[in-house]
Amino acid sequence: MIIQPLVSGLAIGGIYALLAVSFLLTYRVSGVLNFAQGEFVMVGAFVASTVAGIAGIPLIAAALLGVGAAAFAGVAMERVTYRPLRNKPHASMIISTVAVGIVLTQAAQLIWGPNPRTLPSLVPNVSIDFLGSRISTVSLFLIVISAVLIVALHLVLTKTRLGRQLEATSVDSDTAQLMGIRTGRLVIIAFAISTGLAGVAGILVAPMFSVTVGLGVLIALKAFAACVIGGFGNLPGAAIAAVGLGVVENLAGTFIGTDSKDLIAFGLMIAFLIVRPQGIFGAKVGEKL
Amino acid sequence: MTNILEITDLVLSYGAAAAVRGVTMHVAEGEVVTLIGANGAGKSTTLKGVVGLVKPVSGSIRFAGDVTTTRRTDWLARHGLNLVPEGRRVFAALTVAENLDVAASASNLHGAALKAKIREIYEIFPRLEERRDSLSWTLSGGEQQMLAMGRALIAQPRLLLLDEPSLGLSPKLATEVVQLISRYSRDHGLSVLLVEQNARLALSASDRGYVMETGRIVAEGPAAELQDNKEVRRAYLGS
Ligand SMILES: Nc1ncnc2c1ncn2[C@@H]1O[C@H](COP(=O)(O)OP(=O)(O)O)[C@@H](O)[C@H]1O
Ligand SMILES: [Mg+2]
Repeated sequence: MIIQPLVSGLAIGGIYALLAVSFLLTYRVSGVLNFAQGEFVMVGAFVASTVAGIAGIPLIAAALLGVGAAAFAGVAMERVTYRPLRNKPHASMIISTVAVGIVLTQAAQLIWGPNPRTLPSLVPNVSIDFLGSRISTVSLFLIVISAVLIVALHLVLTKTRLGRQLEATSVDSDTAQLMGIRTGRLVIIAFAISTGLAGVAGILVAPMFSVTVGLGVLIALKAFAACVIGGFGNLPGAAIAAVGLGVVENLAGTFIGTDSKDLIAFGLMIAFLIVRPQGIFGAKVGEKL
Repeated sequence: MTNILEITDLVLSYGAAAAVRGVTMHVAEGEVVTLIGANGAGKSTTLKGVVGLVKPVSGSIRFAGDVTTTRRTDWLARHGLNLVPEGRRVFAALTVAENLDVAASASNLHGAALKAKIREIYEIFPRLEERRDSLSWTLSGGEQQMLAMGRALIAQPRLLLLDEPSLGLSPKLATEVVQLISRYSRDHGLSVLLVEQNARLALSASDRGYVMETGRIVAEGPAAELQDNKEVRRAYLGS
């Protein structure tokens, strides 16, 4: 009885976690809270669904193109809005990300029209028997892909020179430049990875819903809530909080009622903002990216 | 002797307030030059101007003959112009070894050549090797200064700029650090521009010196001459 909602919770939690780490990556490296993050979820899903509709193109190619489109849109955002505004007051930057979100939404509406689209799952949807419960292969696929991508990102950030360069840029951009680091290029890389991951989330989540312009909105808000709960200090902390959030709200949805899901998620976020604003894993001195 | 650095009529400002008001100075190849002056004189700003962290209002900067003003800081760092900033600025969340690795972004060293360079730096600063896996915020001030210098040396500088390397160190350690710099310069033909508040220490380890007051050079000459200069003695050497 509990296995099924638990697995669904882990699956949606994995999606929140993908968004949460993508959110934090640009936040740490460029200092921007990107409120358009959710729109890149939708961009990835729409592009993939359009390409998948063309005869003869395999689904996996469509998915990769969707991810590429989201990453490309992220780089465009960095060039067009972040770069010119980076030395301006922070409020301008935040407002600009909200504006980018609206522009992307409206553009998607113009391009793809008002009707929802569909995107098939990359794995066939069968339900398998697991400890006496029926669970879906799509949920398992979501869990595996999110986990692999987040662990891979974590390893890149902590074990490679690229990761150290990103860390250096995030904590002290001037000194990073003194070390010969091309900080401008690293900000672009951070945007591309970040919005690319949002695109992955879109491709993973789209088969469970349908592809609409609002696909990523709630997911991004939940990911933001997870960052608040886990703390903006480190990526693993936010990812763990995101998975926890997915599980908790899904269990609440099952045992209390579907309407309680969002209430619980955002109630928790508000509680943390008031009681423990640094989050569970609060940023200590010397915290890693 | 050719000049590795030539600064002419340099003016630098933060917004409306000019911090450097027409500075002309040079560093010859292989020379150790010191820039002394009171707190707020504009020494750090001059160094930031040389590496492009503060853009000049007017004047020119030439590094190895080429105008630097169109170059970015990271480009200059990859081409042998390296600054150890005031306050050391080590990356707190990275270990000693990781700090050195990230600083190697400024070199084109890889594989065995990089390993050999790191070995060389650990030989100069054995303490860094002992602490290689420690997060750098746990290091003492002296160890952080060694790490900051190690990071600059790994870039294989042609001109090394040092901003108050003795700041916060014990007098003994400060002397060691400054002497190490002048010895390294002699052994490797490295050109150095050293900013110090401890004028006596800096002049004792340098070939030439400049004295800066409120954004202007007010005295210059061979280190020994400056040490004997009445004005300089009164203002900076406390005698
Ligand atoms: N980031 C900054 N913004 C505005 N003014 C600054 C900044 N840094 C330094 N200054 C001012 O520029 C002048 C020179 O400072 P600085 O170059 O740091 O002097 P020094 O290194 O000789 O102590 C001082 O008046 C200082 O207040
Ligand atoms: Mg200074």
